Amino acid sequence: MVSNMKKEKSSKQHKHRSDHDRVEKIRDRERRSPSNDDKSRSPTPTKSNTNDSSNITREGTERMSLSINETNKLRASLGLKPLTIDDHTTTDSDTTKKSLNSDENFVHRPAINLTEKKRTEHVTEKLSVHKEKRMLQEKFLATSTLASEPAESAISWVEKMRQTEEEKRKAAKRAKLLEQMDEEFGVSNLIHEESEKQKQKRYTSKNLAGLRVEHSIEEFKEGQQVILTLKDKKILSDKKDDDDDDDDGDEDVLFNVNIADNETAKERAELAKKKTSGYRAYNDNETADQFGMLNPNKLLEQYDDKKKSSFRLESDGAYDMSNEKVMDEMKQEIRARMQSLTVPTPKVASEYYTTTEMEQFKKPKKVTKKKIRSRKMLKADDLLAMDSSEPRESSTSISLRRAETRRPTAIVSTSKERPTTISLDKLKREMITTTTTEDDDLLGPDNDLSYGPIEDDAFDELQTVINKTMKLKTKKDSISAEKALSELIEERDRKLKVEIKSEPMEVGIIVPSSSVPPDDKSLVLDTMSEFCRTVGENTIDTTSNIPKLRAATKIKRVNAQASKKSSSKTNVTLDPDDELLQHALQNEDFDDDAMDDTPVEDVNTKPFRLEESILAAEPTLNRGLGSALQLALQKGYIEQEKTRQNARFVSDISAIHYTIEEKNSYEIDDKHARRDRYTSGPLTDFKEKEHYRPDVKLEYVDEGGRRMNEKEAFRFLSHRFHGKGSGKKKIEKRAKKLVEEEMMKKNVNTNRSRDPQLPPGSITKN
Amino acid sequence: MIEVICNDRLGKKVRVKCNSDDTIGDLKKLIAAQTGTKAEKIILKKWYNIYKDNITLADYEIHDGMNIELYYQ
Repeated sequence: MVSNMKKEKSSKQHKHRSDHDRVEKIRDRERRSPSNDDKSRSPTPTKSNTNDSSNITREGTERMSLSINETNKLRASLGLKPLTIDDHTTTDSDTTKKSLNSDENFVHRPAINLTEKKRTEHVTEKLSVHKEKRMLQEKFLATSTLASEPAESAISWVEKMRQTEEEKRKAAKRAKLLEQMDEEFGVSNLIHEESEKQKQKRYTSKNLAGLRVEHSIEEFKEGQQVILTLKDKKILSDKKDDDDDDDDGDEDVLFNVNIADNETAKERAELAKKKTSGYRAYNDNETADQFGMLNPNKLLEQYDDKKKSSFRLESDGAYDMSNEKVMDEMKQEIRARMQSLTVPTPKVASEYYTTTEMEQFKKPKKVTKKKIRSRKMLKADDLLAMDSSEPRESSTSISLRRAETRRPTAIVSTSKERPTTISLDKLKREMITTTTTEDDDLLGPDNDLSYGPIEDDAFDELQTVINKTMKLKTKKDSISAEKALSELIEERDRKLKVEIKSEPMEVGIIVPSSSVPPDDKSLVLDTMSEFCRTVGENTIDTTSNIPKLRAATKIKRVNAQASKKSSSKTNVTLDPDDELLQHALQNEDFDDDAMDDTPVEDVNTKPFRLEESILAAEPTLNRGLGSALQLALQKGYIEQEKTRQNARFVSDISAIHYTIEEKNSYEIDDKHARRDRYTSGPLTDFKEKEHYRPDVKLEYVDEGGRRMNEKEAFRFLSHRFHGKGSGKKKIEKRAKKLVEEEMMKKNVNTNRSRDPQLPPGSITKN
Repeated sequence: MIEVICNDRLGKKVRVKCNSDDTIGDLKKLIAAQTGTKAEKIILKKWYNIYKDNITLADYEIHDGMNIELYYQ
């Protein structure tokens, strides 16, 4: 019972929602089109329609709905009062309301009508204007007009007017009288003038000429605007008899209040600093005056009037600072000259020298003067000496002295013939020119270098170095053709050897040297060699790995050597050093061969062995079965079975009853065991397969062939996974359910003798 | 006059026009007339709330367009 109810509830919920929606839609559709097929929408099977009564509407489309008339008839037959139509209207309004409230039917607010707006604005304006007018008019109303005044007689008005006139006259008379009086005193003109002056008078900076400013000029900085005001004066200007006093009682003094305050503040501060104001016996803080003179001791200083620094404005109202500047400079000079009597504090003498003191011990570097080569005046004897030394040098050396020596020889000869001073001079000049070409010092031919014999030290050094380089270069050039030939032959021999090693496939086919020119850079492809090479490769692959490796290594080495040889080919002339290098490298290669535990001879012989296996006579069967099998393998009669039989399955003995105790040696919790579970594999989707979105439908089928829904499928899976099924009761229940379903499908007995508590559609066995 | 929809969930869906002051019993009669069942056999429910015959639709607050579940005894 309970379970049934639960099912009902869940089903009901779904149905309710769908029902409501359906109802709404249906209503709308009905309204729009009276004819609509409800059958299409109803999910329930249509077989129940056959049981319907004949009261289906004529159209057959409206779902069991009668018209009002029919219902009324029906009601009459049943004994009910007919349908009230009032409700109908209300219901209609309700429905309309509902329709309005629904999302589909909504009405926008009408758009703002601009013309209306303008009109309203205009009207409001007018109204406001009128309003204002009204207000003004009201004001006017407040004032009394002539008419509103109490009715006065004309006479009274006239009298009033006369009075006013008289008063005017009197005023005028008085004024006249006054003027007359003024004229008598003669002041009127003055007053006039003054008034005029006052209008015309302008106040400029010139008016300030001669005024005194009661601050020192230092307080006025450039660019600063300071407002000066007149200082308060005593009304009774008392002139003192003292000459110290600068004040003129009549003079105006300008000062700035702020600066004055600052000054007073400073003075107070100074007084505060002074501990004892009063007499000081020892004047400790003697300071120099601005002129470098000491302040004289003053007694009862505090009672003296303080000297006020001031300056006077000049004629144009400005003050020139240039004089002050000059004075300042002078002051500074004086201060600088002052010598203080303070002695530098005595310091403890250090035991060690300071770095500066150490430097005094350094030896000054001797400034060696540049060696000025004193030039020998070349004489004929000297030249001769040089000539004799010439043949000692190698003929091949392109000595610079040649140029030098040639000419002197020629000249000497000439000089010998005609020993004239002129020629000597020429000699000198030429010598000088030649030497100058060598030396850095640029001396003209006219310079008379009569120092002495030429110092050849540096020159000799140069010469030797040059000779060396020349030798090196020319030696290469000077190798004779024979030598070159011999070298070439050597190369070729070497190359041949390498070739033999490199191509083990060439069985006994030693490439004749003549066929391959040594200097040829081209690659020669011989049919035989190619064939052998290819054949050899195959055999190597099949037989064993070791020869393959050997071949590979050899090929590598060959390549290296070939490269070297090619390089050597290009170089016709070999440097001795390079030759040595090559020799060394070759030796290295040979050493490598040796490292492989095969002496050089073996290297040569082993490849031939491989060749033997291919092209040699077939192995005979006199050795044994094993060799025969091998031969068969080689030939391909027997295929080697690569799959090994599992010992477990092959053996005759098999354990029947056994339990697998521990399958998983590793725990699932082990981090490292789990690692490959989740990390290995493609972590991101394939990019090529981006657009491939397969439509996957997983269908799970029961044992009986029935389609399972998700729930059942999962149940099935979990049973399999855990290895346990459901209990007895569960199984029975499920079986019952299945049976019921089958019954459902067969016959649906709905109306007869059913338990009312059961939900509709539940089957009861009759 | 209200229109009430009675759904059987087995294929019978009926729209019945009635007054709101009609009783459930009257409604059942109307339904019976339309569906062809016996009025006594009809049970009108709304989520386990069985509507009683003597109470009016208005009292049950059944308005226009409401769905009522139709069951049979």
